[in-house]
Amino acid sequence: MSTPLLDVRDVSVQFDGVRALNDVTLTITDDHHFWGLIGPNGSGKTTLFNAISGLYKPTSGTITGSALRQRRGTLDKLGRTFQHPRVFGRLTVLENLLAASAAMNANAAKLRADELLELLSLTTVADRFAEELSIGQQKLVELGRALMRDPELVLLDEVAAGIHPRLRTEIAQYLRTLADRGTHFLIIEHDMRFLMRLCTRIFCLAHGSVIAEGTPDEIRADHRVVAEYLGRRHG
Amino acid sequence: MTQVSEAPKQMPRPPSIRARASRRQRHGAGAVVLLALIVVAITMPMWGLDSYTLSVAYTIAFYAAVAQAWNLMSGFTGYISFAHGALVGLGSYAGILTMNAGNGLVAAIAAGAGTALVASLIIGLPSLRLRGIAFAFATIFFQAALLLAVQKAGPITGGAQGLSARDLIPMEELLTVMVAIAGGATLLVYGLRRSRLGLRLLSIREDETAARTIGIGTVRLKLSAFAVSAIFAGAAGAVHAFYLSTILPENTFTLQGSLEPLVLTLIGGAATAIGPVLMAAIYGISQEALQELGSELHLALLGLILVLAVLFAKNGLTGLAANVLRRWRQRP
Repeated sequence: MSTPLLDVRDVSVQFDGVRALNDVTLTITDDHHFWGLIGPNGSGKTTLFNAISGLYKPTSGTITGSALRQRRGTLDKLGRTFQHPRVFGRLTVLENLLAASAAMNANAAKLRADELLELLSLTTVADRFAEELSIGQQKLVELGRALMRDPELVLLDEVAAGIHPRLRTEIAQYLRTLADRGTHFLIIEHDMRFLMRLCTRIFCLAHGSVIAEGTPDEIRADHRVVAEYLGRRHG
Repeated sequence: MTQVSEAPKQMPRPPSIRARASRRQRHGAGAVVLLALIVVAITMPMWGLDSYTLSVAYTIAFYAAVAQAWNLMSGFTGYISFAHGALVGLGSYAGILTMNAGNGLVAAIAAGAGTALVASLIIGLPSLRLRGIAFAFATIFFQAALLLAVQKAGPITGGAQGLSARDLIPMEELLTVMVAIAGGATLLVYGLRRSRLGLRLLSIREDETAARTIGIGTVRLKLSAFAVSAIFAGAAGAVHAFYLSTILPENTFTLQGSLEPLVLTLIGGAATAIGPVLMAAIYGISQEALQELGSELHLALLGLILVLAVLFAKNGLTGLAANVLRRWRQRP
């Protein structure tokens, strides 16, 4: 068994009587670079991301793993993006990235930021305010910001949603390049073509619980996944 | 999920090395201009100006110092403080008490700064762990509670009678010290806006949740910013007590004293070095110029500028100027 980057054990999250997550157990290891998380709206995917990234405290259960190492009280090796990009609008694109560079010296931070801007094709807009960019570009800024600290695991919440297909293909390329450098990803995505092409291991959540885990083919063939999610999507 | 059919925006050409170098030069020039202004202001007492002019200059320096103190916390983090009037007042009381006990001006300033620092921790430790409005409420409560406490602690604070400084300090000395405090705070704002620490503070203002997910210890940063901000407010308060020579609780812990730095900074430009100084100058001069027409007329002028700024300059006068300059440079 490889080192778990993330080990979620029997995690439940409850809000005022509503159980958003119900004894969720899943393990992310370094065996795969791309892990997928699918499920119908309201199944608890983003709640799980919020619990993993420390924004929600689980009502019960534990979340551990090498990607959750702390440095001065903050998660040092975990990055994440949000369903709706949450860039620092009145900071420039470059400043958005540099804001995430507390652990590096100034030169290393600038080099890392320049490298990521180039990798994500953002060099040309480095001095623009993030709020002036398109949603697709803001998603790339958010991704770059999450990658500044060289995380072991990045949680991507619908990174391809609502953006131009050409940019979507580019994002997939960027992610593969980053995976080659050793980064791992857990991806929430409703675009099944995007997800199934990228991910080699997928979890399906429904009603706050994991109902299936497997390869893309196994997930496609799983009757519970079809009944709860895939079969309903276009119905 | 709604599909937004959105093509990637047309990319502008990357800024050339010359453009980046020119931006660096502009930043360098900004620092030189700022330092020159501080040197000019700090040497004013040597120019043989009359006491009225020195007094107006002092008032501007005082407003600038308190506005920059507010800027260091609220301008950067977006956490609005309504307690800066009280922090200044606390510095005034600590300053006079220290000097009346036989100490010098430096000790009085240190006492004012130290007392305000302790107060900032009392306000901040419980309220800055929470997000959103809790801090603003805590500062309002602090201001009201402090007024009551000072009025009730008669044997120490003189109660409703207030306190008077036993020694007078020459106007020239007060002006020099106040300019030094305002200049120090302004240089700190300038440096912070260009540092990664400043970016981390600004990221709290922009989106605190996102800031937490990129390894920013937001609570520690907010507390530190508030503490530094309080040190400047307390120091300015200690000096101001000797300018006033007598301080009364109902004149010291006023809502106006807390609103002035807030409004001056927001109109001038939050998290900018020059904005609050510019507005302090406009406010201080208008206060004198409009005195004959009506004692509170400068407040009406400030209100008018605030309305105009809200309508036309979302990021303050500095932001408006930067926008105009940017469009001018980008003209065909």
